Amino acid sequence: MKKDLKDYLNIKTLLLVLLVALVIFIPVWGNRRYMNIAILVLMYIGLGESWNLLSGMSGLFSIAHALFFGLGVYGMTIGMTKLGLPVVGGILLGLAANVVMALIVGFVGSKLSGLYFTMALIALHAIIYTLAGQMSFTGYALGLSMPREYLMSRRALYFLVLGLAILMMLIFVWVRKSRIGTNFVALKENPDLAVSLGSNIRGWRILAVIISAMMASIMGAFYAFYMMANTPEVFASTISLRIIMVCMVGGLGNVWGPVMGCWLIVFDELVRGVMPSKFASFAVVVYALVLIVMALLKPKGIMGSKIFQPKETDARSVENKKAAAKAQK
Amino acid sequence: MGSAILGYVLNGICIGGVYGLVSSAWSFQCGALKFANFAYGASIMLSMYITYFSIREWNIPLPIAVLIVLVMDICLGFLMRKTVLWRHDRNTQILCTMGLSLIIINLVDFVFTSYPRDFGILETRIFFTDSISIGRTQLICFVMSAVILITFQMFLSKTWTGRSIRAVVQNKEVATLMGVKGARTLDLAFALSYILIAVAGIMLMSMYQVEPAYGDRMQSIAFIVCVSAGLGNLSGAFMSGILVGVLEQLIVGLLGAQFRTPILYGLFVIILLARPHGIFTRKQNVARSI
Repeated sequence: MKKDLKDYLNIKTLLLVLLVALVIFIPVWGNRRYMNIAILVLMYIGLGESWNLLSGMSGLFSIAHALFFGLGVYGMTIGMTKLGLPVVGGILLGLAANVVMALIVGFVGSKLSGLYFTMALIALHAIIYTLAGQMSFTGYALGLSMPREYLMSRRALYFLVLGLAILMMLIFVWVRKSRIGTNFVALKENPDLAVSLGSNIRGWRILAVIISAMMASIMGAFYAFYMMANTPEVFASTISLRIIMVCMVGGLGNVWGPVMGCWLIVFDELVRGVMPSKFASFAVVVYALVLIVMALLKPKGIMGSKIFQPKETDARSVENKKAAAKAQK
Repeated sequence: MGSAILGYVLNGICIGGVYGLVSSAWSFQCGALKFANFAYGASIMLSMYITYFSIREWNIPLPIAVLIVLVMDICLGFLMRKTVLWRHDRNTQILCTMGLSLIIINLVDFVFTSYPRDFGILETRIFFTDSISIGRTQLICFVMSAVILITFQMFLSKTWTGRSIRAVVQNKEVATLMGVKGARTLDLAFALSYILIAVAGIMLMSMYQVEPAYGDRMQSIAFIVCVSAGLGNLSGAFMSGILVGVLEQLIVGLLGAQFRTPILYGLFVIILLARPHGIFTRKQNVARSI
């Protein structure tokens, strides 16, 4: 079927054009504060893709995703300040730490599922969070600061994180389209059936955790350059909550989910700039309320709503629908 | 040294009784009723704060304060069941209760401020020898939690309501056929399990100081106790609560307080991997292997 111009004029294209325009115009027009918000938003989009790959696509519900993110930050800062590695070395150190952690988490996830996996992840997260604040190697509760010569301008950081976010989206799409993604979805939808069809479910689960952890680790390495320091607060559960938020509001298992959900980060940062610090805890309350409402009433998120569903134009799906309607009667 | 270790063990047994009470409530909710309640630590923390403020700041006499905390917790449990726990999807439950716990923590932080609170009771200690002693409050709490747990077990096994709760837990459809209102019984059971949380909160307030992050600590202990006893095993939870209490006192006393979380949680992960169905139970189909 040949498509003419009219087929492309729908709400998706409109949103995409708006998004591209926004991405281009922010560094031209933006002052420092808006640039900061834009950088954070793009970072959360990248992290959201990482969470989406693990939880939305392969069904292992990661409640403490800041664990992988924080390990990436710590790998970078420790590599830079304590070991004197170059930038690539810092990234690799973070990746190595994350692969080790992902192997542990993936091993747990391959043996246990559901509630037990969540509890194990919380436990591992608590171990790392506590140790990070107590060891001299990680700089105690104050953290380490990066060498000054790596300080980058906001504009450079913006384009760096833009590239990274797009890279994460591409990785997500590539995984989803490939054979790996098919297996991930299979073990989310029906693990028993996937096993009976000969899918190595343990291997795929470990692989899902490793890919997701590496994606989060790279975003963490970027965050080290953005903050130029680290504290144990990079492991804080508010970061995990934001990552989950972005995906839950946008849409689970969809590459555009985090992009659609990121307005919450913008909202939060804008409000936080205005409010006195005494009311800072209310931002978390609003977050958590939105999270609960979305999880209960709209589990598929914004991308699950009707306008974003693909149109069922080909004959077969229409026929299927008719048959389903008939069967219901 | 020997008497110091004996002192730690005795203290650990007394505190462990309260831990057993704390975690048997979670074990009941999570293992038996199949409600993954991660707002559990926050609920304990909230009832501790209410206890402190109603006695110290608002000058309410003790019996009425206890009544207030009990009623508040039952209402909280009932509301949770009606608002966030009506879906039977596990992930939704985990997410919603996590969100709820953050709401409770941040609201407490805002209303009561995050300054740590303490009754500061000067405890009378019962001396066995010159160096071995236990606190009177601790001993009373241990006995009380044992009595409450035994009463709860009796309630579950002897009364009609308790039996209907167990019937609904075992097989909801058959229980409904026998004339038990399934959903309503679950509401009731969840609200009742919040009584245990309220009592545990009152007891913990008499021993420890409370701050908004205190709930996480209790939650961690509940995880370890429940998993080592097997989820849903109430009397086992009391025994392994004592075990965890002794272990914690020994770690804090001999190694230092900073090793508490890593060692306890590390042990938890190892138990979870090696024997997910509990140390004391025989192999059952508790954790799904795939």
